[in-house]
Parts: sequence; C-alpha cells; structure tokens
Amino acid sequence: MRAAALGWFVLRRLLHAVPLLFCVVVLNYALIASTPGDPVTVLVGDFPAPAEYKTQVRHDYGLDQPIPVQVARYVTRVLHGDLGYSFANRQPVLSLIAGRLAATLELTATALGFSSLLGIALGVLSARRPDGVLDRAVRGLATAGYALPEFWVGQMLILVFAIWLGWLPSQGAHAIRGVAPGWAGIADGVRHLILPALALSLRYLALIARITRGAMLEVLGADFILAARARGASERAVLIGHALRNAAAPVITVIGFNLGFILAGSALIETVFGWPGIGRLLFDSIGSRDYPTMMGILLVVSATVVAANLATDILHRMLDPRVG
Amino acid sequence: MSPVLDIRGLRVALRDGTRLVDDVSLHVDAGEIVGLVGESGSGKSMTAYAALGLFPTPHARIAGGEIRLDGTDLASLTPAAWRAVRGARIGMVFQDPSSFLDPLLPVGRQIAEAFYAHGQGREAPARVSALLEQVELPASAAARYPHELSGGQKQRVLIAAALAMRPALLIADEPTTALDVSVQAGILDLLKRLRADLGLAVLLITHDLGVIAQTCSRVYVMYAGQIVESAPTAALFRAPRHPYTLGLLASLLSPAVRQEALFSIPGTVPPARAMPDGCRFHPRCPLSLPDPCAARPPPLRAHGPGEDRCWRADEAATAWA
Amino acid sequence: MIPISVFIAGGWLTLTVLAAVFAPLVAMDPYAGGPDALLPPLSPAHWLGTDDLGRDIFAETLFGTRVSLTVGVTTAIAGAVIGVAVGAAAGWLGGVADAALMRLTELFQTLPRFVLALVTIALFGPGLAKVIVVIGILAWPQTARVVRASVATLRSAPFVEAARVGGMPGIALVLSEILPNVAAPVIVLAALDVATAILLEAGLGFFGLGDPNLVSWGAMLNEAQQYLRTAWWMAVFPGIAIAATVLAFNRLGDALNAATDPRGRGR
Repeated sequence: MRAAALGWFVLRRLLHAVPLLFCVVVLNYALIASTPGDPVTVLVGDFPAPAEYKTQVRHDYGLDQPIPVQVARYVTRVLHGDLGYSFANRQPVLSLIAGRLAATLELTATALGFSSLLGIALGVLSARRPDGVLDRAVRGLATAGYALPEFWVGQMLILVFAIWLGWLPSQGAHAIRGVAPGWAGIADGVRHLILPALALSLRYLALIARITRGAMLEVLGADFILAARARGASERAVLIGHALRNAAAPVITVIGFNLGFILAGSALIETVFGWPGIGRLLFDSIGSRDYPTMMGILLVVSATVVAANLATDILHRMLDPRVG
Repeated sequence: MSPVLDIRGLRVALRDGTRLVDDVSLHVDAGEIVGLVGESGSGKSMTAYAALGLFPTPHARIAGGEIRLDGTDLASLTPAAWRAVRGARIGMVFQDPSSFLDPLLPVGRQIAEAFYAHGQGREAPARVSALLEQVELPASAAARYPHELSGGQKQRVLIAAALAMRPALLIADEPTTALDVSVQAGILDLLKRLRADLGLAVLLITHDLGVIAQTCSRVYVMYAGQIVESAPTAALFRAPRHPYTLGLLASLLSPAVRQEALFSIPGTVPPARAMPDGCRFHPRCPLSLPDPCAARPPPLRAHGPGEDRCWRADEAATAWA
Repeated sequence: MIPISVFIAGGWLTLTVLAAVFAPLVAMDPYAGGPDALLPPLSPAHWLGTDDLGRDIFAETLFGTRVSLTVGVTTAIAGAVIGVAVGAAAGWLGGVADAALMRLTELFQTLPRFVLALVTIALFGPGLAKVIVVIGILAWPQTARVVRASVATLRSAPFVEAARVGGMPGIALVLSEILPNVAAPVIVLAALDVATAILLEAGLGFFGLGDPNLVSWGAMLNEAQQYLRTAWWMAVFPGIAIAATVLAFNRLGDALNAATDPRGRGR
C-alpha cells in the first residue's frame, strides 16, 4: 500500500517536471530566436560554414516557417537528443558534452559529497552546544565561506598550495605526460582533484553547515527529543537517530536545489584549474562563439537541475511518511 | 519496606538562581499511585523531571536535596549513570502524545528504543509485541507511524515505551490532559491495571483533582514550588486543610454551588522570580492575615495522616466543614 | 543591541560607496597603463602594485566598486519590484492566475542562473546594461514566493477585510494595506540579492563577459589568472574587495532579518 502511494507520488511529480522541462526547451529557443541578427548564426555558430549547410539548417529548423513551427521543430530535435553540430570541435554537440561529462561528474560529485558530509557533521556538532567554541567557529566559517567567490578561492588555493608550497598541481585532471598506469595514475588523479574540489566545495560546505545547524536546533527543542532522552537514549542516538532524521528534509532540499549552482560553480572552477569538463567546454565555446555548444550545455544543465529537483522531492517523500 | 521513590528536600533552580522547586519531599511506594497536583507553574512537572535528571530547558538543574530510588541517591550520579536509570528503572509518560512521539519513526521502533539504549536490542521485536498487548493494542500497531494512530492509541504507545524495561517507577505527567474526555478514562484504567499487575509505583502529575480522585491513594498538593498539603486521597477530599486545596476542590463543584462557595481563588501563581514574603499563597488567600501569613513563611506541619503548610489550617478545615 | 559585526559591515559598505563616488579624486586613472608593469605592492607610486599593463591595482580596485555596486543595487531593486508585482498578483488574485504565476516562478527558479546569464550575454554581446537586465530578470523568484505567501494570508486579515467592506478597490488595498506588511522580508531578500548579484557579475567578468570598457573586479581576476605565478597581487586585492563587500551585504541582510523576524532571533 505504501509502495503504491509512493508510485503515485513519483508519477505526480513526473507530471509536474515534464512540462517544466518542456518550458525550459521552449525558453531556450526563445533565446535563440530573439538574438539580434540571423538565428541561423546561433544554430550553426560563428564559423565560416558552407552555404549549403546553412541552407540545410535553415530548412531543418523551419526558419522560413511561422514561429510555432520553428518552436515545434526545435523542441522535437532536442527531445530526440539532437543538440546540433559544433563546427569548432567538428563533433555533434551531444557527443562533445558526453565526452566531457565524466570529468565534470568527478569534480562536482567529489565537491558535493565532501561538502555534504562535512557540512552536515559541522552543523550537527555546532547545534549540540549552541554558542560554544565550535559553534562560533562554524558560524564564522559559514558566513565567510558563503561570501567568497569560488573562482577566487581557487586562485588563492593555487597560489598557496601549488605555487608557494609546491605541494599540489594546479592545472588539468592528470599529469601532462599522460595517465600513468595502475595506482600511480589514481594517486596522480587524486592529487589533481584536491584543489579544484576544495575550491568548489567551500560555498556549499558553508551553506549546508548553516542549514543543518538551524534545522537541528529547531528539532532538538522538540518534545520527542525529550521523550527519547527519558528512555535513556544515548546522545548519539538522539542526535543521529532522531534529530538528524527530522532535520534531514531541509538539508536534503538545500543540497538538491543547489545542484544547479554547483554545476555553475564548476564552470568557473574548471576554467581556473584547466579541468577538462563541461565548464571548461562552456568557457572555450564562448571564446570561439560556438553557439550550438553553449546552448547545448545550457540545456543539459537545466535538465540536470529539473531532474535533481525531482529526485529531491522523491527522496523527501521517502523520508517523511506524512508528505502526501 | 522502603519506598520506591523517596525525594527529600529537593530544590530545582535556573542557572541564575531562580528557584522553581523549593524543599520538596515526597515518596511513592511500590504498587501505589500517588498524585502530585497543582496549577501550571506550581513546579510539579519540574519535580517530575528532576526525578529523571532531565529538564525541558537547558537552564534548569537540581540545586539540592536527595532523590532516592530504591534506596540509592540519584542526585549525585554522573551523567552516564543517570542515563542508565532513565527508561530502565524509571519510565515517563508525557502530556501530549502527538508531540512526544517522533513523527518519522514507526512507533514499534520507539517502543524498542529503551531496549537498544540499555543494551538489550536483540530481544526487542518479541518484547515489543508483548508490550503492545499489555497496553491493549494489536501487535500490528508496531509498524504504524504516529500520524496513523489516534491520540489515545499514541498515549498507549508512550506508556508501552515507558514500561519496556520493566521500571519500578512510572512518572506520568498530565497523561490525559491532551486527550478527548472519552478516552481519558481508558488511559486511567490502564494505569490502574498496570499498577496492580506489575506492582508498579506511579507518580501521577495533574492539575485535575477529578483524575486524582479516580486513581490515587495519596495526594501531594503543590503551590509555587512547595508542597502545601499532603494526605490520603479520601482524607484530602473529606477534610482539606490548606486554603489552596479548598480552592482546587471548589473548582470541581458545579457552577451553581460554586457561587455560594467560600473559596474561589483569584489571580495566578506568582512567578518564581517574585515570590511574596511570608506564606507564598497569602496574596490570593481569603483567610490571610497581616500577621503571621504575610510576615513569616509557614512550616510544613504533620496533622493526622497528612501534612499542611498553613498558619490557619484549623480555620480552613472548619470553613470547609 | 546591534552586534559589532553589523557596524563593521555598515562601515565597509559606506567606504565602498564613498570609493565609488570619489574614486577619481583619490586614485589615478585606472585605464592608463604605464611603463612600470607588474610592480609588487608597497611600491612608492603604486600602493597595491601594478598589473601587466602597468595599471595601478589600487585605482582599478577602487573603480571596480562602481560596476559591482551599480549591478548589485539595480538588479536587487529590479528583482524586488518584479518579485513584489508577481507575488502580490498571485497572492491577491488566487485561483488560475496564482497557479500560472507560481509555475512561472518555479520555472525561473529552476533555471541555472549563472549559465543562463553567461549564454545570454555571449549571444547578445557584453555591456553593463545587458548584464543588469539579465541578472535582474533572474533575481525575483524568491521575493515573489515570500510576497505571495504574505499577501495570501493577509488577504483575509481583519483590517484588510474592513478596508474591503469600506469600498476600497483591490489595487489600492494591496498597495496601501498589504505591501507595507511585506516590506521587511522584501528588504531583507533585496540585501541578500545584492550580494548574489555581485558574485554573479564577478563570475561574468571572470568569463570575460563584463563590460569591456569598464574596470570590474571579475575582469581583474580574469587577467590575474595568467599572472598567478608572477604577480599574486593582481588576484589577491580584487578578490578581497568582492569577498568583503558580499560578506557585508549578507551580514546586513541577516541582521535585518533578525531584527524584523517576529519569531525573535530567527535562524
């Protein structure tokens, strides 16, 4: 019965997310169509493409047809996975992005995992003794961390740990001479990952610690916490088993809804650290006026955000039996 | 036989020194339900929480006195030793079963919590079913979430959780106040039956003398952080000796009778920071005199089977009769 | 009692505004290069050193306040105005209009702001006005949500009910009776939005999409990237300026929130 209810919930959220995704695609086309000049430039990119190719694109996207037809063709193509062709890279945009996906996932997942784990831990510990030494330190860190531009943090990390101390590499995902085999290669990858992941984490670490602390403080004042203590539950059981479980909803919401921001931050961080991911691709495509790639990345990032929000809602529902 | 719970000279204070409970002594024997009655703010709940070494606000603490459980003093225990007592030797039931149950956990897990807390997690599942049966709920209730149960069912769950480790003492803080009148009697009957079946000592905290009349063998009346009268229930109802008790009893009478009655208490309990000099009840007392009531605090004096803290107890007793 | 950090934040912001206004009187021309390129800080003529073209870092940082404050404040105001309009309309009208407006809000909240801003500026070409329009258009959803919730609850409040019975038309009622009540959270959100906008603008500048004719902190950091190894001061000072200004606006927003939150200290 509960499984069925969950199924209905997922279905309802899907029915909510799909139109949203549709709107995002339409909005994307609106952006293309409202660009000054010929929209075909945007669909091809600022590249001396052969005239017959431009004619072909003009025909494929129905640029000589009324607007609704244009929108319909664009949406249909996107939904079929056709994000256009990048002349600058001589590759379809989708496979171009797919090729860079792993690097970006490695960076963002590391940063998100690190900031979530440490942020939740710091939030829980600082809520345990409000106004204690640790709490003050965490609050200070959270306030400062949330104000620092992540790309500048990246530059400062490079300055200190790569240039002055010489401990860690500052550019790329692995040594220039290539990926070494076996453990050496993995160790090298980790060494390259540390600084960019740290720079990307700081803002989310601050945010997650702050939200966790607030949510924990609210829950720790609840009657059922007192009841658990009256049963002899240990401090650990009270903090993790009851308080954190009840505080999880806002924390998960913040983590999930910030996924888009961490992708955006990744664009900046990848640029600072020469990380071969989607963000770096975005930076390069802006430099070379490779519009199809830019639009493709915007679409992929938007879709990821919609999917992340959907996943957050479902996770939230699974954690709280009261959500209908 | 020594009492299960024996509180002597208990003081509870806030960190700034404000006294919430002042020199309270009471005892509960095995197989006995004892009532602790008073208005809100009288310190009765704080007395109960002190017995668990646990307070709803981080600012309160035990400032003096002894809390003897089966002869050993708890007040001097380390935090870890306190934790070994809570839920194992003393169980507690609370006022509002909705807010005292974790909304995100099936109630069976919450009943089992005491087993896990006291290192007996392995036996939990079988014993949870037995406990549910004991509080007259089906074993299938264990898988339910709090929001799927009624108020009375939730209170039964809280009682089962409090009894999990077979404690010698059960403290029930206003266990029926938040419930519908129709289910109150069922909960009180359950408490009486558990007392008889398990030989349980029960300290029942309430503001409702009607609840006391139905369940308790003895009563302590608390006012402004002090015990002002204690007596066997029958004696208290027949011959109250403190004007405050008289006022509480008068409020049980029908409105028509109350109009005639001598005692209706105006005003509210004074705040702990601003206790009046002399008898703490004198500003609200219809029998108070400038001397001694307003001048000197009355001592708690034995009278027959009970005690009272009033300079003019004899006059009060006569007035009621 | 006002915490000391609020005074520090207020002091810093006052300094920033003064710097933006009086920069030409205090500092040399930030656009003029000189023969002394890549001078380290504490040079006699250049307190914070010079960049690769011999431009004075102090002057550049000082002039950079202009872009940051302009973008931050105007977009926050734009976000507040749009947010209040959308939120008030949704909360007041209810029904289908409410549902439609809230879906629109949700759509805008879903859009990845930074990437969308990047792509839009890349398509439309850089320029201060375009940066302001793009960030401003993306800054309103949270305000709209807050205002909608307040308006929806206030709609049935006794004093509004009384004014309605008194024959006041809807628009006048919203403007005179309801909006003053949502002013506090809107101002708090606006203060926090200034901070967000400054960070967004710096990111755009770092991507080389700021106004090419104006000094901005983000653009300074973009140039500094190539000189990290040789001239750390090019990166350090504009970054400190961004961090301090963002921190100050955040602190001010939090303090305002704590001061106006009826629940007391808030979070």
